[in-house]
Order: sequence, then C-alpha cells, then structure tokens
Amino acid sequence: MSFPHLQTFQRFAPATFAERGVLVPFTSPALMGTRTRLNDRDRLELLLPGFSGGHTHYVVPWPAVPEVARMTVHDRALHEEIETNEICVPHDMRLAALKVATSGLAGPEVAETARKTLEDDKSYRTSAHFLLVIQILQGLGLDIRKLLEMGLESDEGQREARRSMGQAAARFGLRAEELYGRVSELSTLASPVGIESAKTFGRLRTLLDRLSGFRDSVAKWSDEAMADKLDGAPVAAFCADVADRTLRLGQQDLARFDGMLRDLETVICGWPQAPVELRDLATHLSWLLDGWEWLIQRWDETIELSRHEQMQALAEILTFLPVLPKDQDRRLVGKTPQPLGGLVHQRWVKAFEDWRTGQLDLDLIERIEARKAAMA
Amino acid sequence: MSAHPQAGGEWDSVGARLSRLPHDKFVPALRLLTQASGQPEVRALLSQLAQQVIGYRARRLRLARVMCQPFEDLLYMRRRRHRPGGRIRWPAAKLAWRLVAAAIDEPTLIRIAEDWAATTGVDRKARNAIGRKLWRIGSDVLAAIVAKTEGDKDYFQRTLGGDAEVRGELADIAGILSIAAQIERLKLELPGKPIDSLNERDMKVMMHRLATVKRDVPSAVPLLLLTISMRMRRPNDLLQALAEAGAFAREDQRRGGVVDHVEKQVIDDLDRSARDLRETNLLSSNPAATAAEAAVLLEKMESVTASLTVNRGGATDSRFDKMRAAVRNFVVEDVLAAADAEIGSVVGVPHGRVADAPPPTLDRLIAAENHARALRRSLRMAPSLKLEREIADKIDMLQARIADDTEEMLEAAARSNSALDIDAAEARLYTAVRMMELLIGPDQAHALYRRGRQRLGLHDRDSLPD
Repeated sequence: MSFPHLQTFQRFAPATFAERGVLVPFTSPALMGTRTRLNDRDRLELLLPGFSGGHTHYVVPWPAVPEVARMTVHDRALHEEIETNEICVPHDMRLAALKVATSGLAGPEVAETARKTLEDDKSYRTSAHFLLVIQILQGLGLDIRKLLEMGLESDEGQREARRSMGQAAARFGLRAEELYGRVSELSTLASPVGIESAKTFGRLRTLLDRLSGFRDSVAKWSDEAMADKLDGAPVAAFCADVADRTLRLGQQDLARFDGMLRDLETVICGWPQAPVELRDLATHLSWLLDGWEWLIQRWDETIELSRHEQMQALAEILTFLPVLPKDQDRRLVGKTPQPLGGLVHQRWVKAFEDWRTGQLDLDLIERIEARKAAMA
Repeated sequence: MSAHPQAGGEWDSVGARLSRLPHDKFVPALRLLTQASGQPEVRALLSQLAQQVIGYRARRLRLARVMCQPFEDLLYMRRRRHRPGGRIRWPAAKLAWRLVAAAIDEPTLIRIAEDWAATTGVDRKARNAIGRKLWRIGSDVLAAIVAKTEGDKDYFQRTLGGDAEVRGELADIAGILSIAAQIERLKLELPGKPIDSLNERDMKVMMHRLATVKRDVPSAVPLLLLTISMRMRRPNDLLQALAEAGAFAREDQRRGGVVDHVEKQVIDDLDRSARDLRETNLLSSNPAATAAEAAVLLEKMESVTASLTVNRGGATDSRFDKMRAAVRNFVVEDVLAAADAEIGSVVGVPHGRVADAPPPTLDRLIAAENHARALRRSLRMAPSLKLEREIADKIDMLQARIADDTEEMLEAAARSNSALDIDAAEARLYTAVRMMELLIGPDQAHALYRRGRQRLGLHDRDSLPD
C-alpha cells in the first residue's frame, strides 16, 4: 500500500465536521474506519477511506453499502439502525452502536462492555445531578451536611434535596420544580463531558486526557525515529500534530465548559441561552474527538511491540486520522501546520492486503471485536 | 530533624515502615537514603531494601523478567520434565536469576534497585538500560558458575544438584546474555513475531548483527540464529535466506556445524509443541487459541520439511509424520468431539417456556464462541491433516442443529405470544445467529437473523429494541 504526500491530508481536509462525517464502529475489516454523513440532498452516505488501497475516499450511497462490502451480521444490524434513525452525529452514533452491541451480535464480551457502559452513563448522570445540587446549595450558603450524609438514592435524601432546593429556588425567584428541572437538564448535558469536581472523569474529558497521552507518546516516537532515520518519523510527527491541534481546541472547549459550570448561578439565571452554549460546547467536543478512541486504543496496543509493528500501527492510524476540518483549523492561532515531508512509498499494512479476498477475515474481525470490547 | 535512630531495632522498624510505603513515596525515600549511604546503618538498610526492590513488579513486570528478556523466545514453559533439544526451562531461568541476584555486589545491587524502582516497566529504554547492566553481570556470573561446576564436583552438586541438563541450560543462558544487547536491538529492528518474511532491509540488519556476533562471541552464533528462528513464522526461512546471502561458510553447513545445530533445535521445538498441543489446550481452555497455534505449527512444519539442508529425509520425515498425527489428534479429540456439547448448549431451549430457561452465562457463551472459531480454524488445516470430510460434516451437522433448535424455540415463543417469551427468544436468536456466523459465515447467519426476526414479529426495518 502506498501513501501520497502528507500535505494531501491538509489540502483535502473537510470543510466542516458535517463534511468529515461520523465514525461508524463497524466490525467488518473492509468497513473499518468508515464515516457517515448527509449529502446535499440530506441522504445518508458512507465515506470509505483507503478502499482501493490508495489514499482516496470512496463515497457510497448508504443503501448500497451492503453491496460494496461483505458485512458481518452486527454491521448489517448497525447499518439498518443508522438508516432507520438517520443517524449522523457522534452522540446518536454512540448510542446506536451501544444498542446494537448489547444484542451480542459482535460477541458476548462486546455485549457485556456495552451494557456496562450504558449503566455507567446512567450512574454518572445521577452523580452529576447530585454534585450540581450540592454546588448550588453551597453557592447559596445553605446547609448541605444532611444531604451529604443521605445522598440522593434514599427517599429521605430525595425529600431533603427537594426541601433544600425549594429554599434555593426561592432565592433564584423560581419554583422548586423549575430549578430541579434545570439542574436535571444540566446534569444530562454535563455528563458526557463530566464535572470538574467529580471523582470520576467524564467520558469526553477522559478521552481528551488519553489524546494528550497519545500525542506525547507518538511525538516521542517520532523524535526517536527521526534520530534513527526511520521511514515512519514524518508520519508519526503528522499524527502527533493533528492530535495536538485537536487537543488544543478540545482544551479550549473544556476550559469554557468548566468555567460556566463553576458559576452555576449565572447558568441558572441565564436560562435558556446558557444551557444552549453548554450543549454546543459538549457537542463540539464530541465532534472533535470523534474517531480518536479506537486510534488511541490501536496505538496503546503497540506500546510493548517492536518498532516495525508500531510503524504498521501508525500507517493504519494515518489512514483513519480524523484530520481537523478547515473551519476548525482556522480557529487555532499561532502554530501553523509544520511542513511535512513525503512518506516513503512502502508496503506497510499487511493486514489490509487480505481484505479484498472476498472471504471475511475471521481473525481480523476477532481483533476488531476485542478492541471494541476493551473500549468503554 | 530528630536524632538518628539507634542501630538494630529502630533501623529495622524504619526498614519495615519504608517497605510498606506505596511505590511513588518509596522511590524518593530510597533516593534520600542513597545520599546518606556513608553511614553503615544506612548501608545495611539500603541493602535490605534493595533485595526487596528487585522483587518489585513495575507495572506487572519483575526485574527477573528483564534479565530473561533476551532468551524469552527459547523459554520452555510446559511442566513436562522431558526437554527435547537444548531449550531453556522456566525453573532453569529462575535458578539463573537467583544465582545472578545473589552474586551482584552491594553497591551495584543498590544502583540497579534504585533505577528499577524509578521505572514504570513500560518504558522500554529505561528497562533496557537496566537490562544491559544485568545481562553483562548475568553472563559473567553464569559463565563462571558453569566453568566452576566443570572442575569441582562438590560445587556442582551443591549449586546445581549435579544436574548436567541444568548446567547446559545455564551455559545457554550465559551465552545468550553475552550477546543480549545485539539480540534486543535486532528484535527491535526486525518485524514483530511471528515474522512472516525478511525483506532486503531486514536481511541487511540481520547480516550486520550476525557479523558482529561472529566477530565478538563466535560461540554464540547458533544461539542468535536459534532465537531469531523462533521468532519466524517459518523458522527455517532464516537459515535459507542467510545461506542464500552467503552468510555461512562450508563448514557451517556440514553435520555438526551451525546449520545442523539450528535445524535440530528447530525440529525439536516443533516436535515438543506438537506433542504438547493437547496439554496446552487443557491449560488454556481456549481451543480457538490452540487451533491457531496448531495452524501455525503445521505451516512451520511444511516450510521446515521443504527447506532442511543437513537433516533432510529419513528419520526426520517420520518425526514430522508423528507431529502431524499429534495435531490431528488434538483436532479430533479436543475440537470435533467436544463441539456438540460446547456449541449446542448455548442455542435453542429445552422443552417448556422460552422465558423460563436460564440464559447461557457469559463464560458459556465465550467458550462456545471459542469452540466455533476452533472449528473454523481446523477447517483451514483439514487438507494437511486429511480431515476435510470429518470437519465439513461436523460443521454441516452443527449448522442443521442450530437452525432446527432455533426454529423450535421461535415456534414456542410465537405460540405463547407472551412479551417475556418473545424477548427471551430474541436474545437467544442473536446467540444462534452469532454461532452460525462464526461457523459458516455472515450470509447464512443474516438469513437466520431475518427469518427469526420475522417469526418474532420484528420487521426487517425495525430497529433493535432499546
């Protein structure tokens, strides 16, 4: 498999997130790393990267996908799910993928992970709700000792929360149910990102943190490879650079998000505009980070492996790299894209070569499913 | 700061308190102590703690493992006493570590312990820097012990229990450790194992390392070749490629030469792996993984048979026949014979209401999936094992059974028309679909998926339930 100059990635970067599309977590090897988006007639289409072994993207109308590649049953079910619900944003895609995964069509371990993830989402929402209630009460100087002892799970705790929130609502000039409803909405909005003061990181915050680790690790690899004059050095530098840009935008979002939640009074009083801004920030973050999780997972799997295998992983990561859309790149000031040298034309990714034999590669599917089972 | 604790009891209690500290607090404490190592009490304490640190697991890795890293490809992991060829058993590796750790002088031990306590275990550079010290010391210590046991029977008896086999293993370890840095660099430069093939660049690197070892430690050349051979998908490819590249002199390719030695080791290794296949399966309880191992083994056997130079034909051929028979035995006994029970138990339901039957546990589902994968992998090996018919028949039979049992279950659920039964049947349908997919492929499995969903009244374009 050969690669063109890396500049191509930037020259042909999508204009917007919507054009970049949403990663579809298919398990069929030929559909790995594919994305879906709406075309100009609002119809779903699939973007297939590196389909012919080159570095172009094939665009396939959604209904034609099963004719283009041999799909696992899991993927056919996910394909139907996406089509039925016209899914084209990361949040909905995640839920659809988890729903299909719980069926067991990608194996019992993937199903177990999906069920646990959905439960974790729910409990995170509950704890975010509790933290926000405490924060509001604390901000108003109300007594929270009783509530902290009881928690929100017990009936007693619920009553105490309602009583305290009643007091708080009066201070805001709202009805208790109104305030409760707003906090409830905020906790739903906040849980994917996570609350700064929570013991457990939210999903997107964790992913941003992992992306930072990925950037550092790949940048270090690139420096070492450069010193040893290895072919993969420019690819690693490019991947680290894209990760860095994504990270900087994500950190901006996160700082704004945390800042707003720190000043809950303003958010509650700034209804209904404030939650819209919070939702936009969370949505932007989910678009930014879309597609990174499995690439980070792929890189993490190679930590103990040889440089040769790490180069293979980087070649695969490069193929599916979520390059920033042009409108996002323009938001970054200061560092301009580093000039990137060409990549040596070399056959690196052996696994890709077997993909076109007509038969599904069961070993490869097993590896994809194992990665899926390892991801939350 | 309080007065110095008194020697003896108080130092012991300081040591005990320090040893209970978590890793992140222990390392700075150890560093502080090292700065005051002029004091005899502190030196004694450091020595006591260093012994503890070398047993530390840095991210699940023991220092002993770092010492074994260069010869890990030659480690013999089975519990069997019999050891074909000149391979290294785990107990010998453990003994080597004990002997080396006991022989390291105190200041070096403290330095190594400190470095080790500070590493995370995943930082390969830091780990190899520690490794280089250990390998150098290990090689000297073990070579000296081996030499001493050859001239001193009492010492031989005392140290190695008079076991000549163990002495041979320690000599191998000493030999590998003497070229450990070359081996480790080579591992990084070549593709990860199993290595499919060596390209021009790989061969250049290989030739360079071989020349260096030939120049510095000629006696270790077979050990280097053996180590890399063990990392190859087809072990003899390495010898063939090196012979083609002119790496061997004529005497290397005669009986008793380097090539003869490595070929014998390779054959012994294949032989052992084939004979241990069923035991491996028993220990791992994962027939899919064992079947994958068996497939690689067969591939290696075929390539080795075709590429032997010194050990071609005769006795070697009959050994290969026995190895194939061992693989066949694994497939027949552990894959085919157990398939009905393993796969059949997770599809369909016994008579009665579908919702009343307890769903298969996660472990049972995983075991069934592994078995289905093992069958598919066995199908790939079938021509070499002359088992095409048996495996194809078994898969056909299982396909029919899955279809019939699922049909019966769907029928029962449809008859009862209770939401509970329909839900339970849907979950079981997906398990059956999954089994069908692993055994036959996605097209037949998808047909079952559609048919089943229609029978349960879940229409084609309906999404899955929330």
